[in-house]
Amino acid sequence: MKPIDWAVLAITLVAIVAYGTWKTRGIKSVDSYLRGGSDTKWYTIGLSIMATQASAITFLSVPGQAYEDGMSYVQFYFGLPIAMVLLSATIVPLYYRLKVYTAYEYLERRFDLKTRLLTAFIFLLQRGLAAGISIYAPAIILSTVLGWPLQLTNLIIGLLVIIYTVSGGTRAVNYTQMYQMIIMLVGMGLAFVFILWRLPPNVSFSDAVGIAGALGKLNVVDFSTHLKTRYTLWSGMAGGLLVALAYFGTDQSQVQRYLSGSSLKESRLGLLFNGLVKVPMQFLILFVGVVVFVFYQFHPPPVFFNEAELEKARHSSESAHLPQIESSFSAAFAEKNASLQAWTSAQHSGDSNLAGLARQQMRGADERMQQIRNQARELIARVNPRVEKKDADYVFISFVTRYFPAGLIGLLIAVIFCAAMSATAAALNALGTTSVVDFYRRTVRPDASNEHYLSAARWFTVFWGVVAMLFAAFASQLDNLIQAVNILGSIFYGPMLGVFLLGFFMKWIRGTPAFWATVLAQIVVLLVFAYTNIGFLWYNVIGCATLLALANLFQIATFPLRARAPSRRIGP
Amino acid sequence: MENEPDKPPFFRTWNGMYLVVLSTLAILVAFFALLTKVYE
Repeated sequence: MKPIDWAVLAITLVAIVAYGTWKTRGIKSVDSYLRGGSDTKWYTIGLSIMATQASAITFLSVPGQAYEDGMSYVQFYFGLPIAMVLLSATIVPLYYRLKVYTAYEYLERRFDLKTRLLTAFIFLLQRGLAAGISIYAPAIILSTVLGWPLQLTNLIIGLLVIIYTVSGGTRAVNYTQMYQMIIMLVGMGLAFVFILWRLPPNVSFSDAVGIAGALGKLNVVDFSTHLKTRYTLWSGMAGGLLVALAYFGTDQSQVQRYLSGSSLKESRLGLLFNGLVKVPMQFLILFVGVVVFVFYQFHPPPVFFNEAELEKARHSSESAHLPQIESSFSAAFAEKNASLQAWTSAQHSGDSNLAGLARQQMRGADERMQQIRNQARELIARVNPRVEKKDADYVFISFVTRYFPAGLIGLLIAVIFCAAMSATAAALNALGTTSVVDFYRRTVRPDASNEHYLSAARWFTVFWGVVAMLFAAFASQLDNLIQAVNILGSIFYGPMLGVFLLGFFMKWIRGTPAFWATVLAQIVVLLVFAYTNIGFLWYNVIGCATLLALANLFQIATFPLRARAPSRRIGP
Repeated sequence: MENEPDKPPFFRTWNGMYLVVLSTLAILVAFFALLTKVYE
């Protein structure tokens, strides 16, 4: 990083924190602190919702995932626009009608206190862990690439977020997220244009798309029905829809964003804006990874993208094997490059037979390169058994630091920091709110003053910030980081969505059956996670379906339908 | 939360807005499926 990169990074981060703190100075009421003063416009809500979901992992892991496995991950988002429509039509008007601070308040009004506390507890557990990962994930990658101490990076992200989140609450989170999201979109847009510009002059955009397609990276939609395949059209439409319903409808970090709207209309428009732009945005981020892949068809890639670990291997007892691996890798690259030139000429001259042959040779060389990369991974794992063998998370950041010009490197690093900060801020804000509203005010101090709750909300936000930083400091190595976050969400979202669906649509179910069905469905999902290898998106379907079935079973067993007293009918 | 009239821009009811979002999704999925098919 050059001085101009440091300047861009420092100015961006300081400006965001200063703006968030200044814009929300002098907050005196707990309502303003927790609900942002209820004057937020749809574009702020929309960008804030997007920034909450787009953590640093999105910008680090997603391009790497496209580099390794192609574009199929975008299917995970196919259910999201449908969920935005369903939520706008049902749950958002309901939350407005009930004037709730948190999603879990609804469950007490519909069922009972224990169901509210159980779901609020599940949220605290899941979001508390996820907040730790959202600091840790970028910290470990940034500290490796930039050579910073890991704990220092953790501390910088955590402290910056705590300053403005504690000071300005929901309002600070919303306004900073809007600008953070704009910085992220501009940064990624510039990165995309720059990578295209760095392709060889004789390679057009359509050639780049053709090369990516020939090497199997444009596999966007998978119609197969295998349950073990992680991303298919069906898992995206069913599992992805349920994840999005649960995440946007019941996860307080998102609910708090749109409940800060100045009206129901603004909240609905914010959600629908997200439904319109989310799939194209994810496609673009994946496509950045594909263009990086195309770039590396013309320039030799490193045999392992975590170059700090590669360097360690060069100075270890295994160093004698590395030159041989790198030389085989270079030979396979040269072979692939020759086939690529032949394929491009054949494409331009319209010779389909020659193009088919060259494509086969290209794919063969690509597979050999993959095998050699696997050998390098094994070697690096022997040198440092704790290191993550999959280097997909380093593909994009390593490209940025190697090839981007001064200034743009600083901006892209700022994008990753902004993403980490925005996701963490929303999580801390929601964790603090749930702790105060659902636990402290409801069960510990129900009659305290407005100032007392405002102070308690600030202290709980600090508490969760410290917990997230401690988790980030002591987290062990995780498999691909984006998978870790999504798997964590899918373990808890099925039962969480199920209990809300019970409340809305099954008017005959009462509190106790709903509570026990939630407990058991959560256990079932944990067992499925521990003992099967079913694709994780299906956990959502299993958790939700199990809960609905069990609640009905318990209701029939314990309260015969004809004899039951009328339940509380609160629904859309 | 103010009592602003709950009417979407450009449309008489929210169903019009919902249709725009769902139609955009359908067009995107069709485009992605075509892209996959062409480069299979």
